[in-house]
Amino acid sequence: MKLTVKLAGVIGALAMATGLAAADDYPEKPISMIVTWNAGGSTDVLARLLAEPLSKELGVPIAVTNMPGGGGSLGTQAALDAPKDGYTILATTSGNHILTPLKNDVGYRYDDFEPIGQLVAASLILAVREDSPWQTLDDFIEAAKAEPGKYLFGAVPDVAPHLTMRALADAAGLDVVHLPQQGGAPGATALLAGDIDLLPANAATVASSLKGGKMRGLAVFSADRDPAFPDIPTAKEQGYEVYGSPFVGLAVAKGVPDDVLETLKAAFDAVANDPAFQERAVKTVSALTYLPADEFGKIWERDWKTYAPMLQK
Amino acid sequence: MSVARGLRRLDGDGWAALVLLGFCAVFLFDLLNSQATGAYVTSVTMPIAIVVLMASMALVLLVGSVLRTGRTAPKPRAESPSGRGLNWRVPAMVLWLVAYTAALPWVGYLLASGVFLVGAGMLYGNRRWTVLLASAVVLPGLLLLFFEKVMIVLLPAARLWN
Amino acid sequence: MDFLLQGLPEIASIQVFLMLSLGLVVGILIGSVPGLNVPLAVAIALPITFNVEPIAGLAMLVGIYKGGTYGGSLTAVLINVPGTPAAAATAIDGNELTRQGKAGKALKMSLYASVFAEFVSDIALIAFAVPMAGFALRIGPPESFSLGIFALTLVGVLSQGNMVKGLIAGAMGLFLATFGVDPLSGEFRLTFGSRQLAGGWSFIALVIGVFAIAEALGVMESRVTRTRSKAAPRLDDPDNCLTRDDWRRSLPVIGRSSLIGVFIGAIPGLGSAVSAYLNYGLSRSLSREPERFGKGAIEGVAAAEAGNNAVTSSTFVPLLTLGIPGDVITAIMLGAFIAHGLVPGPALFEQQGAFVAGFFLMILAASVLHLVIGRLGMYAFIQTTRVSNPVLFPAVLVLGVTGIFVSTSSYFDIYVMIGFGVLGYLMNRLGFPIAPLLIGFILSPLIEIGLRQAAIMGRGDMTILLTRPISALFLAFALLTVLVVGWREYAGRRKRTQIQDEEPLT
Repeated sequence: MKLTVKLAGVIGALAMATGLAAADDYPEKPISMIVTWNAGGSTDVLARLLAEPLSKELGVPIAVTNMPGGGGSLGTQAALDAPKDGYTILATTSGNHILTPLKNDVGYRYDDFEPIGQLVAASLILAVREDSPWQTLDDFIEAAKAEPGKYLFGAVPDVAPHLTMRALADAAGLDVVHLPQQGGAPGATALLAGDIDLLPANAATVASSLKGGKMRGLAVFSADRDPAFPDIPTAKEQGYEVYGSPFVGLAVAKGVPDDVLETLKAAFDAVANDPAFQERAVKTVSALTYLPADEFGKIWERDWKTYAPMLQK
Repeated sequence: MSVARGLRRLDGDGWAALVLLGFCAVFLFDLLNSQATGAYVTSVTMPIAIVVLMASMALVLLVGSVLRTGRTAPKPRAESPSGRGLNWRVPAMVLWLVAYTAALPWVGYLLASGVFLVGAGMLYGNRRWTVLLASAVVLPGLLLLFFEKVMIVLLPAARLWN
Repeated sequence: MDFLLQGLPEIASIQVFLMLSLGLVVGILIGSVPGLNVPLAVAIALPITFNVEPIAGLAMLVGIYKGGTYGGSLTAVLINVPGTPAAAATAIDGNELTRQGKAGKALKMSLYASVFAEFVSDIALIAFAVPMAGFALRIGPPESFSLGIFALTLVGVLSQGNMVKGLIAGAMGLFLATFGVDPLSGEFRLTFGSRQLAGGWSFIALVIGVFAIAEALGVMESRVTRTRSKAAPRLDDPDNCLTRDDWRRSLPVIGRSSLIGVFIGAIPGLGSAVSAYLNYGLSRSLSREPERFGKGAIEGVAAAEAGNNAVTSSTFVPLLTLGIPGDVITAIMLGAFIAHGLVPGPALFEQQGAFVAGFFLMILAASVLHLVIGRLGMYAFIQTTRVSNPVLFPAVLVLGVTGIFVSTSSYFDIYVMIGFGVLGYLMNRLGFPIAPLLIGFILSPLIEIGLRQAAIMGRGDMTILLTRPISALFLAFALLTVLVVGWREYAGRRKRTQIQDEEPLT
């Protein structure tokens, strides 16, 4: 009995000692970066690309940990449940961070986390097949108004491309039918096969089809044109103020010590602004849209407010 | 014939069918009370169809089992196809696996796996201490090295100390 | 031919062959271990590929992919624990052969069938990529549904002798796959308030549970279920050699399975497990001696293995011709292509002929190296028949737990695996076949999503399933299978009752 009490005391003291030391010596052991999607997905590949230079910057290995499931909620929750010592960071996306907690009862909110920085804000492109009669957004809107309920668009249910398309349909007063898809690639296949007429998609999903001439972009749902596709006009240019831009970035649970957070932010800033890393990311997944922590936090707030009315029941 | 006596005479198939029917009832209740979403074919259409199929097949199994035991009764308890009785080692191993999983986050990968391997080896009837200890040290060590150093995938670390 | 030759300079380097061989070895090892899966290995290897020539990086990924798809059959044959879901079909007859002391025979057939199917797949990719892509695009939602139903009817074939139990197992698989997020609306269903269940039952936990854990529990009941040889098993032992009769039975099966597998590979979203089961079931129902299957039929091993490896090259068809990845592995490779400044799609062949030719040659080289490395590896793997159960199975259990943790970092999934292990053990004891459970689980999303998408496309009019010709064809196949299997079941039961008139039916 006495021994257990003593042992508990020793362990407690040790834990306190290591807890205090953590702030000064951080990082001193491997960091786990949670990816809330499957190994091999675009977020996962981006996270693995980032992990390599980030671990050099911090001087400890970074292990990419896939925790897929429940619309990204399982991994996000795990990042909240982990000890708040900065050794668990979350590669967070619009899906798991904003959309899933709005739509389903998952037990966390966007502001349970501290932003570290934004890595990517993908452009959303409204694509049609090359043989489609529509050349501009207006062509499509006219056709859709003439025949309500005739045209099909494909998108994963309740993710940014789907919600943006819904916003466009609301803004223009259209009746287009949603054919739910299982992911970006199946959606692109369905468009090429002619099973759907329109595909709102992340630029990375349709990039090779656009460049290869199999698809045509009608509009980009960003404030400015995508530098990779300068010929595709924005929706705003064509008279529809509809925006959508899913993000990928890093976050940690609230409650992580301030100096640890600063270390992580500094390391992330250094890597995200490193031309070598940028080049590699552009080639593999997509162009980077770096934002520092405070602005990334504002994006969370903006998206939360935008999507809340569309998703909350 | 009372229900209890009927139950006592049921063979393995009959019990399996009864358990399955119970599960089907729970699932069907949940599905019928959940909100259906989607156009034309809803989110609960296919699950309900499958449960109904499963339940009807279970009924066929149950009827077959009752008819069979009725015809040949009283007969000794139905033997499993393998022709062997339940071995106490099987539930023991299941519990040992659960204990291993529960211990992982607390005592860490190396220790938990090592202790598990010794215990599991003994449950399988291995009494050679040299082999038991060697496997308990070598396998977890190799796996830890491979994952943490080569693949950079973290395995559970001990939360109690560390 | 000229087209291919221009690719020679691309791959004529030591680095390419080293990476290819390394990929194959790693792939075979990872594939053979239950719990470690190919997509994870490819994702982890990805950063390594950035530090070498792009073609060498792709070579490593291709090696892991081909090796991993084959590697699962080794443990399936030797210890009845399939390393990958696709190899579960191989285990049915492969492990039976091992029990009969003919492990070498099964291993050889699985390697030769795999490599042969790979070559067919390589050649199909090189020669017919564009027409095959056209075919793949015609498989829309109605066709997915009908193909799923057709594949499902083959469950009946796999459970011949006890149709009711087979159907129950199949329905259980279909049902288990519907837990979690509804794929079409994103709503949670059947989660019973559990946030963990919102992710559904983990597929990898299910596979390891019902096969590896269930087998580990099953062998506890008796200590000598596996025939063990004290002496080192020799691959040139007569029992371990393929006879003329084996080849006579297997060759037509390998040919057919390769062709079907190639088409399945070209369709995005189906994959090697569907191919393995479809071909196994088909071979069993088309066989003139279906009673051989499940009792150590060499042609069963051939069908499953040719089926699952035939997808490994044709899976590049949609990637190269349309720029659309068909599965996770090709999605990662898409990144590797783009990193080299290549845009997969129709323009690829014209603009980057040399690189594409190099890629094709590299794939052919991968199949040759696969044969060599696989044949050498067999000497090492067959030695596992000498390891005793008390040493082997605790290790299998630790590997299973480790594999789950590495893939999903979830303790919940480890408990799920143990639960499915108990389920698999009970099913084995009570005479329920396991294979239909797995097939049901794999086919469930294909069928449900196909049906619901088709309903939306037809605006509620389900005749779309019959008016699209390929869909109607698959449904006709399904009907035919039901009739054939039903007749055999009926005839078989009559025969059995005549023989066992006096005995109780158990």
